[in-house]
Amino acid sequence: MQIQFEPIAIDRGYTLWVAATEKFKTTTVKLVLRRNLRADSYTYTAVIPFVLRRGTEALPTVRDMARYLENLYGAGFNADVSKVGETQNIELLVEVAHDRFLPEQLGLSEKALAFLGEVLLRPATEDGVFRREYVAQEAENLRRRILSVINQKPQYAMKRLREEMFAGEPFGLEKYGDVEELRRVTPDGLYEHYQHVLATSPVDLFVVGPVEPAQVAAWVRQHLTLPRGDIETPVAATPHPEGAGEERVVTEEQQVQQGVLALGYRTATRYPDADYPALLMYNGILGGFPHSKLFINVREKASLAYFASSQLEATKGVVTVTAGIAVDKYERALGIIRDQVDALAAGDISEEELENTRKGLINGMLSGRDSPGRIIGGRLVGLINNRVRPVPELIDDVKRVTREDVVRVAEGVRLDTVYFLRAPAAGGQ
Amino acid sequence: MAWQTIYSQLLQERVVHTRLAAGLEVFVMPRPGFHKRYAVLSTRYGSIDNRFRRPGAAEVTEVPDGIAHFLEHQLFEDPEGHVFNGFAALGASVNAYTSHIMTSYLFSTTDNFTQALDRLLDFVQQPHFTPEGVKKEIGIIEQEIRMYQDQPRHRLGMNLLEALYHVHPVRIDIAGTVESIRRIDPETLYTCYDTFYHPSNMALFVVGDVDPDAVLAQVEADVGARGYQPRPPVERLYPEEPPGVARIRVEAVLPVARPLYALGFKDSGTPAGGLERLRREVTMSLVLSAALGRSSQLFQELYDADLVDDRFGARYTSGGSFAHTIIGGETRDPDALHARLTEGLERLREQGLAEEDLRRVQRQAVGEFVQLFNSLEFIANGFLYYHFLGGSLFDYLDQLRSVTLDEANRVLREQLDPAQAAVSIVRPA
Repeated sequence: MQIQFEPIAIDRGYTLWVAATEKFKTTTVKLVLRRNLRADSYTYTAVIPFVLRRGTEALPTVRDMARYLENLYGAGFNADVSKVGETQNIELLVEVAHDRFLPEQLGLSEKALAFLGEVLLRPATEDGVFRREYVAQEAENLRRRILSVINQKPQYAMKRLREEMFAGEPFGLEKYGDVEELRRVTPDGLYEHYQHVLATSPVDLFVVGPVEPAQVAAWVRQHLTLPRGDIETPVAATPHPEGAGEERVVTEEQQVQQGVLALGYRTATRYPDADYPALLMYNGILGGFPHSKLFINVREKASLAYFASSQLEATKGVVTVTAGIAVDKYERALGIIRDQVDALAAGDISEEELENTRKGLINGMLSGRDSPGRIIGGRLVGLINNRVRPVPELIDDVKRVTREDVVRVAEGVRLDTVYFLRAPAAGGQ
Repeated sequence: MAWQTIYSQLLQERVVHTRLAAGLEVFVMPRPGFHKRYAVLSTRYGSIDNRFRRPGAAEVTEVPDGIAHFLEHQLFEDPEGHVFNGFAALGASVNAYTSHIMTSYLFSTTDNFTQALDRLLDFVQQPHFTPEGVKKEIGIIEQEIRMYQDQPRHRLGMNLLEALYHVHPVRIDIAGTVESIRRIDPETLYTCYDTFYHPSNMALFVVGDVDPDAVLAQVEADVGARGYQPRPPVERLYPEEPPGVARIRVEAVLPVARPLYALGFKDSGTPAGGLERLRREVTMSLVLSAALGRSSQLFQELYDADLVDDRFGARYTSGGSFAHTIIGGETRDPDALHARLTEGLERLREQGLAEEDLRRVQRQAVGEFVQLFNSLEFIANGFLYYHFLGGSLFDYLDQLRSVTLDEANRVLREQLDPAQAAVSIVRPA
């Protein structure tokens, strides 16, 4: 039973993607406005979904909205921004229970689309712009959200690594905006920016659930007709700068019980490239699984860490490694991590590592077919990269990756920045 | 073995179950159309079970704090290599977790289900504890504990439980302490294993596109061949927890961006198990939604006063021998939040909830519950959790829909009693 998207062109730069299926107990609707992540606009773009979430003309307060959604049998509604490569995307999500499993039939799929239409087209306003109070509160909430990352040390270390490694590149920008600029967001400026975003962003509307595509298209035309101007197609990612690849070490001190080591590597491979499946294998062998080199060598053999893994951001072509270690084990942990990366480049990859990683990746991709959110997320990454990779095709590609392919990818991997969050040395105040 | 069937009319789902001669309970929920197959094997043994009398023994056994969690880690040791690798070779993903009341071992796979189930049954039923393995694990878990110590929310929650409870072991961290885990040795691990990992104390749940008869035949052959003798239940010795809280207020200073606040209410009136316990849990979850959810007057007041953000939440937890409510989040002013929140809750206790509010959150809860059935992980883990507490996940909906206003208001008055309350605050350094 394959779940497939049927694309339906609604308007200029506006596509409806319907995956009709009875597999789930829900209808999931996600509308995405895709933008370039750029220093001159990202703070304003970040605030938009949070202000939209505050109210509509008909449901002007958080409380009104919550009451409405609760009465629709706990319809889930979320508005957020995502960062994929160097794109910044406004994402609005509504999830409703399948009518068949409820005590009464309310036509929730259509109601979900109509609600999104209200949120986007008739937000709560005053004097012709967003409500002053909502803009001020939500900008402040975002500022706090950015600052509170310090409460989670691994995430904080990753954020600091990104800032240091990608200073001057769009990828170094925080998806929620700049903490100082957030203080200066005005209702007028934000409303004007919103009108521009609404008219010029490519729009993708995903619907996964027990629906009929032509019927969904009719509902969308009725409830969700959007203004369309000149569409600005975002660039997935800029190239790595010339000369990048010089290693840099950044150390920061805080009163922590555990040090966090974060390493950033630039790769020569990205999502649309023919070697992308080999890059997936590379990251999997290095640190994507509990059978990976990092877990086995840093945690199980050396007993240095509880977590030690690698993460891949394929749109920009970046691999990161994180490990939580005792502060006095920095040199040793760093040495072991470097050894694993070198081993991959040297082709020191066992048959078992290769095959287990291949199976693990395929298992992960197939499991994703059981989740509406991951089905939508996979398609969105493809659209951003202008290269859709359907899961069955990608599985076939992963099946064909050889050790030589992985080594070729490994040869293009360069350590860029080492970031270490540590406690101050004993004795010093 | 004859199957018994539990059917949910509303969910249109069935679970079949039976008990093997050795005492293991087996549950299967067929979900055709899903790629993923998920199995979880759990024992009624959690962090709070640190004092017990072994079947037939006169003396009381006391074990170091954190040993249930330590044992969970150590079961992954295998004389022929790490358990992770065996699952990786099948393309399966394996994991485990320890809570206050249970320990669970699970895998998820889209292929080789039968072999993966064999491996799960094998590694959980074949302990391999050695001095070297224990020594290695102490290093890893020490880093895990230090990671939690750097999480302000973890500290906030632990401080609150220590304040709410005088002696009940729920006040001890599930992972134990850096000191307590150093007292763990192979012999004590074998004692705990032998006491709590008998099949009569355990249950297996399998969900996905599987044939229940084939699963049962496989499990019966495996467990049947291991020669288990019948065993009376373990006697768990929880200290008598006096009424009232140990401390009214606990404060800590940590490197956080903004203060964290948590208000707890110890529930001395909770039934230890069965339908009554489930009903109290369901009723309390409705009460908290109506009183403090996004549609409540109190949430709106606190939000408008800039005392909470949308990550503010409230949750009731009951584990049979303990139960409590925790309300909290980040705030600019914990003292102002405390004053407004406790005043608002007192007002609610006097006036009671409105019929309309209860009905609305009931609808919300029904829909949200249906939505959760997209997740095989939720189904399997949720089912065993409620089963171990003497109820059934499938009873949840009926209980949810039948809660009356009088009942909700009675439980609200009982549970949110200021005489049973404690506050935990984390302030920025």
